[in-house]
Amino acid sequence: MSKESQKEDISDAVSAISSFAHSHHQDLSLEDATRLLRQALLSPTTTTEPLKKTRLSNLRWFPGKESTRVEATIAWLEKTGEFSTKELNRIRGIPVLVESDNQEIRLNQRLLGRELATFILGLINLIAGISIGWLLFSEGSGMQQVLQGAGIGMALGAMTNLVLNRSFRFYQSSSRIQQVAPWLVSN
Amino acid sequence: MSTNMYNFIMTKVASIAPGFGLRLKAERKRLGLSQSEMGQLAGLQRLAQSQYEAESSAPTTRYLAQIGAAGVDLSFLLFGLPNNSSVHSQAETRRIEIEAFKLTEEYVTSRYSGDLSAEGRYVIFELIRSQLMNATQNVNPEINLKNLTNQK
Repeated sequence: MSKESQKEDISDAVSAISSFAHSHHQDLSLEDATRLLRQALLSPTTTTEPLKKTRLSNLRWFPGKESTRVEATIAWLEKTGEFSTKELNRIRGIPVLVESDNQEIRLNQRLLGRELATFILGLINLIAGISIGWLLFSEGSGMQQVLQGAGIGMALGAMTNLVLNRSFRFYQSSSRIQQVAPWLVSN
Repeated sequence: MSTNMYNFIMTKVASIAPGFGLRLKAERKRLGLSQSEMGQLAGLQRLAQSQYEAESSAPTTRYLAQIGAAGVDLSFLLFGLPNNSSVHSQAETRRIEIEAFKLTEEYVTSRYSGDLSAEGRYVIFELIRSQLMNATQNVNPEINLKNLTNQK
């Protein structure tokens, strides 16, 4: 579980309060009730309530064309009918979903912040402008200029694509997943 | 797309008391909301709401906080035990809420070093508050009043 998700995981608290709740305490003074609830919550020996815990490893698996858990998750998202083919391809291509070490499907954490992505895109645009100027006013032959232009264009295009995938496109896709399957995104 | 796939996808570890889906549906109907409307309250689509009701996925903390703020009884939802807040006077309720707040902060400081989201704090506070309400019901009001007077 990531540090971020640990911060949002309140299942220990829910389990502790549940054990208190099902002890059917009644007619207590507020002081006694608080003391007992504090014990349930903060005692280091608190055992978790036998609540149903579901992990990916417990799920039923039917072998199919989906060779990985990520592909199976994307296939499930496709089945919901809430995502267009373009969105699914984007989720697959970025990739938005990845499998963690403990075999959980998580959002890809290797991201660029919006500010950094904007800065890098600006820098790429600047380099593109300088490159165009350099190509226009260079003294090379026609074919040489075409080849140089193609090389620079492809390199800058690939960089732009990578930055967009790691930033704005990712945020857009993860927001859509949040609406349909919030359990994949948070907690 | 192949029909062979996970029968059920869920990656988040969460606690769900048995019957959660039925209670969620009951609370939704009590509030007079459709699945779409309740989903919108939490910024979700109808599909996510229906999956929660079908217990095919576990609710997130954010979801619990948002439906709790919309009037859903979280104690009933998670534990199947109704919140009996109506049997307490206004002064008792205030006192219970102060204790619940203190205990929430104590827990968050101890368990999360104080670093828990507002949604997480709200859900824990609501659950503690409702349990203190339930545990102190049927107490002789005079005793509570006496305790309150002694504290002052």
